[in-house]
Amino acid sequence: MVISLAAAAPKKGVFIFAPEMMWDCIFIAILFALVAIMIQRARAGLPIPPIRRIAGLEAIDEAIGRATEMGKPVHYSPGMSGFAPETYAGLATLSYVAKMAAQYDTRLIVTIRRPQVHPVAAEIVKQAYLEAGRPDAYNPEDVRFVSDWQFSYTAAVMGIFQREKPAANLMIGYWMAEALVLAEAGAQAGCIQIGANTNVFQIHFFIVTCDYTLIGEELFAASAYLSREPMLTGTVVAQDIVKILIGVLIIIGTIWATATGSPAKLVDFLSL
Amino acid sequence: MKRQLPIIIVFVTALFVMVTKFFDLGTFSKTAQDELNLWITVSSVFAFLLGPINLVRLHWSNVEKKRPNWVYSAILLVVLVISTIIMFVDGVNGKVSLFIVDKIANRIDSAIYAMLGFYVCSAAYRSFKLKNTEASILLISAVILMLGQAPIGDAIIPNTSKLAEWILTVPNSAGMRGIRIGASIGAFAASIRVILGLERSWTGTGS
Repeated sequence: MVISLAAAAPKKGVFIFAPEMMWDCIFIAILFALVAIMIQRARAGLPIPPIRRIAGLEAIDEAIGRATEMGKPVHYSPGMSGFAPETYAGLATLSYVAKMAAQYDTRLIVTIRRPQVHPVAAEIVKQAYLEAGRPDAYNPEDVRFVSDWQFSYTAAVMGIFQREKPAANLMIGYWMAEALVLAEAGAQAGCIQIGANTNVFQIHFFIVTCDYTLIGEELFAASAYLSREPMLTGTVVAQDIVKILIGVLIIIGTIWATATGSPAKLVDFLSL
Repeated sequence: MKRQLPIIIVFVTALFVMVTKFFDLGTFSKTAQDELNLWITVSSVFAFLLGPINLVRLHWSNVEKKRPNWVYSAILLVVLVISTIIMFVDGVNGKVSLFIVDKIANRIDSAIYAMLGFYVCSAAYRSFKLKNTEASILLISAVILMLGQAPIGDAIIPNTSKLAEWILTVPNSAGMRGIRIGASIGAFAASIRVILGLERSWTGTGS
């Protein structure tokens, strides 16, 4: 690798900004700066604006409580992708769910599609049981790699719903065509269901089938919302400020395009 | 160290990727990204072994302890061993290997996918109830869209297809784009949390 990179290394003086990435870079720089400001505020003990109530995340406690009362397991999946941002968000929520399940002495079944995610999920659940003071209750066989094939995974999880009859089904991650199949199978098994997805072509299936749905960015706010840690909450506030900024840009762009009658000029300006 | 090392690796890699993306470094950027993709492939192949190990351990335990439905676990183990031997002997592109993938595995996969059609009906039946304002809007929009897609729609109520097209291209697109923008910014913020080590649960070393 070193040899090939050295051969391709740029000559002195050719370090120039990639023009097509300018706006991406500007927004990331703004986001980084806002996150840094929020971290500083959190460290200084200054107030951080609270996150609005997210019903889907509030319902996690209710779902685990229901499973505990019924004496049935909880099913959890961090989605279908590998190590994508959605999976990180799903794994962060898994940590919370596993801790709650350990505290309530409720069985937690975690199914994993991607083999590389499995050891991480297993460690998270194991650590959560340890932190809850119940390491003996951790069963490695309940954190299961099922299959790398999309619909083989789906069929296996449907089988788990039918055999194990979980009382709660939490699907927090990135979902594709299997979203409806799994959510319907969960509904038929009588689960209380919480779904989270960023895939705009599949969210509506969760909305009609699940009891609670985390739409788009709500998934990424989960870890901050559940931990209530000011530094993590600050990053969500930073993300909201950037969203407002983009909203303002959209309004300016709409007015510009309407007034000039030519959105091309704005596109040319932004492509500088 | 178990907690810090993964965070350091992620931070350095993310910084490296950002520099190669945001700066025009000529062929260096492409070579570096190709190398990183190769590293991802190699590390994924190693990780791929971990999944089947877990799978075999679970199902072997089912068979050994004669748990309910252990026969299915036994079938899975037998099929796993047979297909692994065939893939090793015949090669992944061999005639028998391709037959197993194309004519058996893909067919079963397609059958599961086809179940989506039935589940769409049951989901539609459950959701198309006038429970509240949102459900009513959903129901009315769905009826207009369904009528708009069929020739009979315009015959019953003129211009239904135009209204259906407007619903698809204006409010539907606006909603989808809004969700996409929010999710993309959320993904950025989540990535920054991981890169800066604020989000550490993925290291498996506690919150």
